[in-house]
Amino acid sequence: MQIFPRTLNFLPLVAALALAVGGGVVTFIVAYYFSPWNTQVGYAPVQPVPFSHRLHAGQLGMDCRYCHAQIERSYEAMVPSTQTCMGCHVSLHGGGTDPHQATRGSVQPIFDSWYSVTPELPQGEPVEWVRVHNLPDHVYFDHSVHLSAGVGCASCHGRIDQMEVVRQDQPLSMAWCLDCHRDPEPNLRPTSEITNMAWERPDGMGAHEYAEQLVSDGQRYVVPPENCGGCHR
Amino acid sequence: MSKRVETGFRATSARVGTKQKAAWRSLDEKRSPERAREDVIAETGVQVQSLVTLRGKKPEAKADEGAGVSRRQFLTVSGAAAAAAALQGCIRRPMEHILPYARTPEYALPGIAIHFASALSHNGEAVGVLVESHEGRPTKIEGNAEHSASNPSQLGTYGGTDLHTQAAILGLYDQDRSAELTRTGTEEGADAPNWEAFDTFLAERLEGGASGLHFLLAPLTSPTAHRLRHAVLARFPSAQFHTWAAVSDSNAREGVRMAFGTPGRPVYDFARTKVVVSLDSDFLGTEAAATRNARSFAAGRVVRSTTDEMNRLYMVESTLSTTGVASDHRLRLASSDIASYGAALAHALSAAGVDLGPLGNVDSSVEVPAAWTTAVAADLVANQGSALVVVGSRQPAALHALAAAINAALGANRSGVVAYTALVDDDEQAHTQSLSALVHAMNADEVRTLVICGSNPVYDAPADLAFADALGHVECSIHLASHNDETSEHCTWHLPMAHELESWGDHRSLDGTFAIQQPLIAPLRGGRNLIELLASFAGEDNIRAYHQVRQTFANLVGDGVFDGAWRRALHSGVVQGAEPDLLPNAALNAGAIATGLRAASGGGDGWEVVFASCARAYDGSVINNPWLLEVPDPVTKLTWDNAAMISPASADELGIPGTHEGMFPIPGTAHEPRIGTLIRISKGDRSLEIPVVVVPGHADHSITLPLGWGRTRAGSFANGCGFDVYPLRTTDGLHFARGFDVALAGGRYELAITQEHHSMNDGNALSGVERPIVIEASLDEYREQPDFAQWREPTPETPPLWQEVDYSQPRLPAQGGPSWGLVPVARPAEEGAGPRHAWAMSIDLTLCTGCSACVIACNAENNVPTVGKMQVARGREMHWMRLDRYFLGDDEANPTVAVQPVACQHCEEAPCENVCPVNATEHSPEGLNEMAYNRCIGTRYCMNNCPYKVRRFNYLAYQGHPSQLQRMQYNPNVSVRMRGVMEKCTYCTQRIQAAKIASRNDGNREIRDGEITPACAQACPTQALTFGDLNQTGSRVAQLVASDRHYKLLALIGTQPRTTYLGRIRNTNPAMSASEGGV
Repeated sequence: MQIFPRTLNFLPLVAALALAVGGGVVTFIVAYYFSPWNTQVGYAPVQPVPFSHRLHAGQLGMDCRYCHAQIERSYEAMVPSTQTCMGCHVSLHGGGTDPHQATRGSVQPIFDSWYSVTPELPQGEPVEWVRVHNLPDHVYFDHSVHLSAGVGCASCHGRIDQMEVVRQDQPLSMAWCLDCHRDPEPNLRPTSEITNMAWERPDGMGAHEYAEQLVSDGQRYVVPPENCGGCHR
Repeated sequence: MSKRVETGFRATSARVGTKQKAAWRSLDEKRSPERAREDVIAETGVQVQSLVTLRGKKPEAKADEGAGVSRRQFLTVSGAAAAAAALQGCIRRPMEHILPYARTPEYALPGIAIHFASALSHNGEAVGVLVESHEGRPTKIEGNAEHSASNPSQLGTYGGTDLHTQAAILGLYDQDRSAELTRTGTEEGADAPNWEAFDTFLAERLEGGASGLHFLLAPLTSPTAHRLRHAVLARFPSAQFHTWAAVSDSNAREGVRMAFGTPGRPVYDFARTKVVVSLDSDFLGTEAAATRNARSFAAGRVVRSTTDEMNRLYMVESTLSTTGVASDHRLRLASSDIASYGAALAHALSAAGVDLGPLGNVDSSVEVPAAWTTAVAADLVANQGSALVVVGSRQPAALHALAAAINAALGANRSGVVAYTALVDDDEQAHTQSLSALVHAMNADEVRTLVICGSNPVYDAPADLAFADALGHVECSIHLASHNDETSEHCTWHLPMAHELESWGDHRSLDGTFAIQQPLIAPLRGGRNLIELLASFAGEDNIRAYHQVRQTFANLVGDGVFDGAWRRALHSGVVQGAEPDLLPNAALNAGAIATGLRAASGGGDGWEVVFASCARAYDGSVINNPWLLEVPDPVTKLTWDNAAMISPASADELGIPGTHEGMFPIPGTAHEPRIGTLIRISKGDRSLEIPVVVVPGHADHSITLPLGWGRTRAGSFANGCGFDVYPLRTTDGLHFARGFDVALAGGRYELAITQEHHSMNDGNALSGVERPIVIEASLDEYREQPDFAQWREPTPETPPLWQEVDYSQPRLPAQGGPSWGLVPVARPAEEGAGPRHAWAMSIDLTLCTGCSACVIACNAENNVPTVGKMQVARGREMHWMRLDRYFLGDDEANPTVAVQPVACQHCEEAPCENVCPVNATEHSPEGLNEMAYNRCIGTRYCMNNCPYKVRRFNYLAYQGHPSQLQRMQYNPNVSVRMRGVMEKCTYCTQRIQAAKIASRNDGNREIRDGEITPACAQACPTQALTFGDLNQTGSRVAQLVASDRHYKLLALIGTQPRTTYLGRIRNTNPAMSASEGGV
């Protein structure tokens, strides 16, 4: 007597297929969502002006805050206004006030923006920079409080001073944020060194030991928020 | 872990000292609690009402309800949306741009809001404000603590505002404001005229002289406009100015003129009063200077211990107002009898030894309980120097003059409790006479050019003047207005008017405080303001308001110190040294007052109709504002409509059918509702159909009709909302009149009333314990038993279900290590760290008047959407804060009233958190109950498990409706919630975060007490709400929580809420027993 109906003969086949498809889906999910494709690490869009951080921050040694001024006060990245660029560039490229002077090359959009200010358009036309580090809209990230905690620029943005084109260096995912919020000590440095791209913890000092030393030097003891409301409002 | 104790409640009834009065929100709830419960048991937002579609005689959909969507369309769209969402997961996020300034404006730091001091005028008063601006985009209005109209005591860090000031920010972004000039006769297809065309036209027209030039202005608060008015008169001596406002304090001005010979306006200092008698004056709500009055009145009612004194308010009024809600004794009396009552009170005062001369002998026909004359008079006499009689702007000038005489005799002038200031505008006739004279001239074809600035007389002028017809006689009419409204339609020219937040100006407040109004943004719709129009008529070379305002200012301060003084004035929002112009003490003209009073106290027969300034719509000028349309009326809890208010007895007398007082039929029963029944009010050939709401506490045989509704050209939101009652309003019955016929009109009109929504009284027989919700005692009862509130609201001694957090410990740093780590990284708390923050709010029910400024402030701060009438009727209003209005006691005709603001209570043992399947609502280490919107999947379990009914669910994409312009109002620091997401009060967590971040950046200092103020507490004109850190030594909120009147709402559930209340105290006069109608 046959206990199982004949149709069940297909069961192993169906199971195998399901396993294969399911495995494929799992593989895809892991491969995709854990990969830089999703977290966008390495994203380096073309900017309207091929601004070189390697030149400005690296070779010329300009401090980050020369352009990203007031970043210790605001949550914004403080991408500089055209005015800031023009502080130096107005006297480069042969100077002069002719908006269409031929020698400016790739810097021309900066000049276009600068000379777009007219009595009719007092605010002028901005340079349309492309956002590289793009957090979701429901995340309220604040630059200033991270800097006052002693988290350096390089901790999240990587060696900007070595980048010809700025690219995203870290995943900026929620898990990545929480890793540091749960254990910030490996990423703390003296607040005087936050813009120092090449800074490293003194040899032989553990993260915890060094963080204790920072506190004894007068830096605040960092207790990052882990609750939802810390970042989501 | 706390130790386990026996479950049980403290005995309740046995140890309650004084008995709590029964509290009810509607007559139904009182008469048949079982019936009311049926509504409540239904899931919030899916109330019984939702089974009924709104029927009405005006079926057209409200603009913001959106177009109807068929099932098929819905499936198409949702399918496409699902596919798009699935795809989006696999592609790169959309490219975003960063647009820095080309040239950075001074002070502008991206991401940091700047506050500018300015002033906004409303109802003849100017209130100093601070406007928050995000990268040039104004988003929020707060009171200016340095301005006396916002904060008369000048103490504290923030000033108060009323709901209209709060809502003004959305008025700025009204997409229906007119952007174009129009001129009748412009050909179809031709370009709309521009300002240059108007300037040319005006120059040509004025060149040939200006015979028949008339102006119609609203009462002025601007010294510059006043100066320019004289400049116009200097250029065209024959020009005539008229004044009209549908709601104004014209009677008060005339009353001062009658008493002292010169017109002026009374300014009160309630903080120094002990006894106030209000004769039909809603001085905390709809009267001018309500914010100033509310602040100073509340200052005299702050009771922190049993030895504290408290002022006492007697209210005599026909319709229940916010001031009536706040009063200690209230007499309901038809408005036309109140002048007579004033005479009776004068008589009683005279008998008590106050020298009122002939005023003490004016006959009075009114019948009131004896205590209301003798006991009130005795109380006034006993508090001479700190006693005050105030009169409402509805009442005739003679009664205002009588009050001036009584106040003078009681020593109020001497003690400075009342002062009289000169008018900013000219000495004029009463506004009705002024308008009548204009219409007369128009009909006689004497008006060749009519300039109407700001007002809307075709809509709101008295009906018997037939203003629209008279306009037909005018050759050229020019209308400067924010909207192309009813009057613009009849005028030759319509000129768009700039909003006060986008133009320069200056204002003198009632008490003479001088403030500069500075623009926050260039005119969005390209308008000009009154100053600029008057300057063009005056022939000024530079008509720009900036120039004109500076010139007035220079005249005031002198040239030498101009720059410094100007900068200081702009910075602080108040001009120092601009002394108020006080009227000199003049002898009273008692004879004239007595004559006037005799004329005014005639009663008349028939139904009385009272035309009241609407708490939401004002006179109709501000109504195209979804926040104002949707905020429930402070008393009736009506939204999106107005209705005739009548007393229960009057409803019976009219034979209004129906068996229950609710809004909708009760399914499965024969109970038909009464509210919404249409009645017809008529007098002569004027008649009106309007639905009724039954309001306990209303005077009998009297009907209150709120002004300002039923507009036809207000804009897309307000058109068609409510009923226009102006057609019944005539010059001889401008404020109230008798002799109306009232009858049932047949039929009903569905109203959206929130009064029974979100009830916390579930009627559950759980342990037989009743739920005391709003708790009230008299001052004497409080002195006898200071902790009356805690005794009536018993706190259970049940052990918590969950491990309790010890909030007195410092906040621990993370113990978890990286997310992938297996070994936790242990970090100890900082050495010597103090306790963590424990945020809490305390609400003093004694101070809350129910004015609803907090609700609008919350809308503005937290991007709370409006949902439209249909959704409100279904119980889906989104306001994070609601003001529950309870009637207390057994007297249905004249109950006492208490208001209780309820927002998220931030329970330490929050029932909502335990039921969330996805941890979208969580507790912060500082005691905040937090919502992570992007985690929420919309099960609504939390909403159903919330005993306070404070969670709001986005049933539809309510945020999808606002126009691009309206979205400019959004606060960038708060997420905009999408459909299917739960939301609720966060204690303005964005402000808490901002203060914490500022304190850390600022050398990790302490957060000062009062540094964080949620939007509701900041707006509150009476400072009834206090927010702070329970763990901070000496913080105000910690003191309040430790005070004797403190209680936790529904403490019996054991939720340990962080928002707590101070029991309400009413300062009743023992000499006024309830049996004498004293209440």
